[in-house]
Amino acid sequence: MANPLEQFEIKRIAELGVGELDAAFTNASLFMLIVLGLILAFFWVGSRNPQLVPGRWQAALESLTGFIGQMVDENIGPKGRAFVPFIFSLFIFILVCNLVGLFPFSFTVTSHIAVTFAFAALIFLICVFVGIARHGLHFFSLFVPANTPPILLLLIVPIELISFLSRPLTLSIRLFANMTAGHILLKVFAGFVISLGAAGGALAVLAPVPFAMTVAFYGLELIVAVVQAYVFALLTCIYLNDSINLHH
Amino acid sequence: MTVPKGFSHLPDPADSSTEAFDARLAAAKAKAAPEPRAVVVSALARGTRHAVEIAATTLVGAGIGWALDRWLGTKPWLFLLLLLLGVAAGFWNLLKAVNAETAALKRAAAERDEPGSTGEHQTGASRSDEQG
Repeated sequence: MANPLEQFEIKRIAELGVGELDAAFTNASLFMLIVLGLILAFFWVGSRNPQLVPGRWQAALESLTGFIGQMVDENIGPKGRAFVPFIFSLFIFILVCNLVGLFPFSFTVTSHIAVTFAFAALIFLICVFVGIARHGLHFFSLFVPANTPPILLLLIVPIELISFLSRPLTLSIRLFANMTAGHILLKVFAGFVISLGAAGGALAVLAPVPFAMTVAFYGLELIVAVVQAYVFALLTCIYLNDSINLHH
Repeated sequence: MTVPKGFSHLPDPADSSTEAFDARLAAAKAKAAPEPRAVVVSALARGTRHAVEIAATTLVGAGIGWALDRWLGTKPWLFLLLLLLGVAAGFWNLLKAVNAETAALKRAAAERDEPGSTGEHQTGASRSDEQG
């Protein structure tokens, strides 16, 4: 049976070094460029001929941007408007990466923790910088919930601190684990179809069973791809809201 | 006024009494209630959101404790303390999320029971709910 982890392998396409750093052009870089191209194409098709009554592509584009705008309004409020482009870029990039990864023989960029953690660390730093820029040292009152008895603060402040510091980890692991686990599952079940078929005889009759499972899991993975992009954007909103509005 | 052919599923425009309109509105609202599939998707979103959090806060707590132990030479006490605090942080987050969700559900239920109630009235209702 084919190795289910083979699909996550990074392959070098062209060597490239920046000073001492190894910045080789890999299949991950290639698929990021493909994703970028698809997003730009979607935007070009959706906005090249704007109409008062939108066509299909324009309606798709507008409902996506409207969806993120509404999410930001609900979770941050009017002060969050400045972050709509950032959150939308995150959302569309992760969404298209997840969906492109579901094509056979493609590579899933978001199944690498290096990618998801880079996003999560960026979001974490932005949250800290925005919080300190807007509230100064008052930002650290985030770790002191209102109306807490002083004795309990000894316990609550370290707990809040740990949960704040764990944000980049939760954000990155959730996306990475969901995409990796789903792709391994798909590959394992698809591998069963071939091994059962190759075994021949009575076993070959069973081959359609894992095939049906693969189809079902494919549907599930489509939902997971969209839901995980949504959760990533939603949590970015919630974390930014803490930095922007402090106590709400 | 007769309804043109092919439009019989639309309400009769002549029937404009408020009762009939209220009934139509109620039917439309029932139709707009979230589909089972939408409920499953939002539950999946919320579930994966909270599931990872407990594991991650535990790991981060343990990691900070381990690093502090190495720095201060207090092996293994800070590791154990911060590991426990990490677990506590995970459950603390879960508790906060569940409380927020319960409050949202209560607000939605109050909204359903008393449609058209003002925002001021609502906060009063939810406050009495919390006390009861």
